[in-house]
Amino acid sequence: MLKVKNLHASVDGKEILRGINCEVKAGEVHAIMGPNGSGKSTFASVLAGNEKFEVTSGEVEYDGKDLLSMSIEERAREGLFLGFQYPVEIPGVSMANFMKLAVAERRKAQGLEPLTAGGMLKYMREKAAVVELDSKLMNRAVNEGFSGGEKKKNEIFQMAMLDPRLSLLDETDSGLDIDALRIVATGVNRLRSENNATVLITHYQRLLDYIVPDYVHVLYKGRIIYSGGKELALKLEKEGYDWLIADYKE
Amino acid sequence: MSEQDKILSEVTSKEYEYGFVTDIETETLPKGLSEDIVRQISALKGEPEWMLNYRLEAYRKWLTMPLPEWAHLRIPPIDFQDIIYFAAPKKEADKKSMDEVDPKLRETFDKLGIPLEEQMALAGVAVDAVMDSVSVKTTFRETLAEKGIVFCSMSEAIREYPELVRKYLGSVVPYGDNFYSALNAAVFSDGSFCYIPKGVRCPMELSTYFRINAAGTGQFERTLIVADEGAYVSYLEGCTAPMRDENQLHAAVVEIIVEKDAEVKYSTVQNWYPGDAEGRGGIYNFVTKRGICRGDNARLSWTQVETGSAITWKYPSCILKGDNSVGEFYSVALTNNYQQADTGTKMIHIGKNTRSRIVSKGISAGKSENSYRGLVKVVPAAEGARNYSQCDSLLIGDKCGAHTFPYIDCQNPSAVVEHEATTSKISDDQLFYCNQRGISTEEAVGLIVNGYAKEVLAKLPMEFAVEAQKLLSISLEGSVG
Amino acid sequence: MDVRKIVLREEDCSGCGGDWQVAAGESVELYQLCTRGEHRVSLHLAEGAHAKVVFMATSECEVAYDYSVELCGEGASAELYGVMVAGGDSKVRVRTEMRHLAPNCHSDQQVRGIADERGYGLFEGLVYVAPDAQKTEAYQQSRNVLLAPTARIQTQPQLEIYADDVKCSHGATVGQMNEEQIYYMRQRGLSEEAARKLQLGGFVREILDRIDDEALRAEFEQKLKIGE
Repeated sequence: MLKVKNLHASVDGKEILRGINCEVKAGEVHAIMGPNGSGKSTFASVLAGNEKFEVTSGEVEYDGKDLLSMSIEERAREGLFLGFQYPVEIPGVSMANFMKLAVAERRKAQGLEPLTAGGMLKYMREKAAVVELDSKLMNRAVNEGFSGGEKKKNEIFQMAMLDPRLSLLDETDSGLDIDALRIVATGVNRLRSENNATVLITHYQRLLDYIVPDYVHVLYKGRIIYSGGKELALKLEKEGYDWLIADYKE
Repeated sequence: MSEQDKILSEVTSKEYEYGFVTDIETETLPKGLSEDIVRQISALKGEPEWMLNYRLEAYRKWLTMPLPEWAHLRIPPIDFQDIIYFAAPKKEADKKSMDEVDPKLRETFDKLGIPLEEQMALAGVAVDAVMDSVSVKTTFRETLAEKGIVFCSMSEAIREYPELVRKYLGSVVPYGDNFYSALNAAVFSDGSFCYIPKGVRCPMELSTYFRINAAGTGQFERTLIVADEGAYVSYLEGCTAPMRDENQLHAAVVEIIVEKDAEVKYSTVQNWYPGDAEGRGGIYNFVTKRGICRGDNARLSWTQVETGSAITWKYPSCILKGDNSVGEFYSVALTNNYQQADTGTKMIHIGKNTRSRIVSKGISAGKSENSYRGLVKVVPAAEGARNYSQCDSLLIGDKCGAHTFPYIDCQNPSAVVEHEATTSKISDDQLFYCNQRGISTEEAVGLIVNGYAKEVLAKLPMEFAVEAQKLLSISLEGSVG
Repeated sequence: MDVRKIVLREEDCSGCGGDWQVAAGESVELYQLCTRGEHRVSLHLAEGAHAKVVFMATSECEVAYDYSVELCGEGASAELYGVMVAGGDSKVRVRTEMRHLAPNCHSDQQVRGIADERGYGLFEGLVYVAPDAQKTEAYQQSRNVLLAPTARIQTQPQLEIYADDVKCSHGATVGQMNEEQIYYMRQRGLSEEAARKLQLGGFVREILDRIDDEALRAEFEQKLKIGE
């Protein structure tokens, strides 16, 4: 589904990603771990098409298409979802309205009929229940006045609404208490299927207790320096990154 | 980035939708202004002596007045002798029903989406449509008459309700108030008059549509609304004009009198032709709107959505004379391309415990200039007066200007006046977030701008709010970076 | 780092002022406490320069201050803090112009106004942001209290902005002192006069605390007659 080849990207002339290679297939869950500043969030942003970052070389193939040539919204409509580390507040724009538009675009891209108003409402309630999100929040402005936990749940809710092929969840676990974490993880697990894939970007092993990955990658200084199975996360938790990154220190 | 710029420039460069010209015969006076023209206008309208005298006094005053130059506007010289001051669709006999209205004219109103016929009953809107200078047809007169409500063209009011007109005309905006109010008083050709008697709640929204059609013509309509004790009315005003290369002058005066315990809501969606993307053509909109809360507990609320005109100079104001009276001003002003707007309000607190609230949302895009200018004045007698003002500016692109000029003048130690202003832009993060959810930049801009303006749009009657939302999105097509 | 200090006192009140260039990276503090006449002070800040102005405008007749601060070099910053007091029959006028002419500059203006008896206080403050002055941050607050029915405050904060990537805000308030606080203090035994004085002291505290030099701060307090 996703093939990343030698991806380099920089911001303000400073290179952050220095040749990333990886492949994600349908049905898989990948975790990307690594110390602060290693480029994890940048990787997710670049895949989503954030224009703050400049791709200097490399290729990304997504469902057989050239991902890098697609606009941010084209990528989204094709089912690439980014769960933001810091979800943005949009004053005055209601969640309901926001989702209505987003879902309509996604369905159009999927070749589905638009939902009726009633259908939309039902769909929204159903998906809100997945993450135990209070549906009253639908009448509030996007992320405005949401607590940290609500913002993160709201991201997973939107993920559920948009039925993505590939979800990149950027530090979705940070700042969550254990209950919220469980809810978010349950939501993600329920959305897993043979047809979609998930990339978790996280600092902590703890999320991986709830969402069990097929592969774990360690990102350091803009490169994936080590990959392994789910047991790698446990090892990292116990031993830290030092044993891995010693060779890369300057 | 460049992609966004492209979309923005496409969005901003969307053409004016209402720019058609209606081909109907008009009856016009020659260009230019003189005492003779003023007399002819008055004579054409069959006005009584007192009205002619009022016009002549205004005209003489106008001759002595300088053009106002304090606004943050660059106004090209206007040749007041090169304007036609009176143009009317040619009329035969008095029209008895809708069927008799010129079909071309009705087509025009249909294009504007004005529900002039049966739909009106459903919509529950009574409309006085002013095209160029003359009021075409006032609907729903009979229904309103049962309640004692007078809603008719100004010309008719002068003929049929001379006492009311004489009592109130010029009582809030005297002809000597400013250059344009003097000009209007001298040459106004028509407009709407509305009187709601004591204790009557007007059962429907009253509505006026203005349209400039004939070339080289100025439009000077005059609106007078009187809400007697305990009365209530919600009044809507909409404006459009065809696309023309030359600039056209619009100098209206609106006066509102709100008596004790009465309430008036006045909503405007102003969509005069703004000129093309290079700043050619467009309406010069110099408008004086003012209301007075004469009695205790009176309420006056102005809501405006300003997206049109090449130049807007407009300060709908409230004189809060009655104790406990309340004035409100809610405004969204959007400028794009080379448009210029200098708009705001004046809240004059005279009575005790008077309250006012100002919410202004400016949006500047393209190479436009957008200013909020407002005065909050508390006189020594205005014990316990309160004002709160919130003035926000949104800049779209780096070639435009957004300015805030509030004036606070407080002479009562028990008054509380608060003003806040902020400036922001649509953040790249917001756009990215929307894009990431599959919403195009164009749509995202519309969404964000409407969200930004929501507090004001929420004050509009429903059908108007929908139209205003569309207008905001359309007027902005092509503008975020 | 060396800070150049300029103090304009009573004896400078001949109605002049001055024009100062603040060189790249230099830091200047200007303190002004004049009580009559008209004064024009201009500061031109080069790259990375910093200026802090603290003023007190109070008079028995008329006094007018006119500040023009130009942020000409990238990364310059300016703070302008002041108190205006108009009592008796006095007229106190303060005009400020904060002109952001280069990118990445920062400015903050905080002005407190008090009008009592037949005093008249007028504040006109402009923040101007030039077309290329991106990443500007400019803030301005004008807070005022009216203490008598014959006193008058006029405040005209203004924003004139020609760049989009900026953070600018201004606020202006006119009001009165909090009566509950007075009640509370009196209930604890303070005279009404003492309570009001204390309260006014609190109102301008934020400004005076910007003066690091203790002797100078005492001089300001003494002029304001709000010292303990």
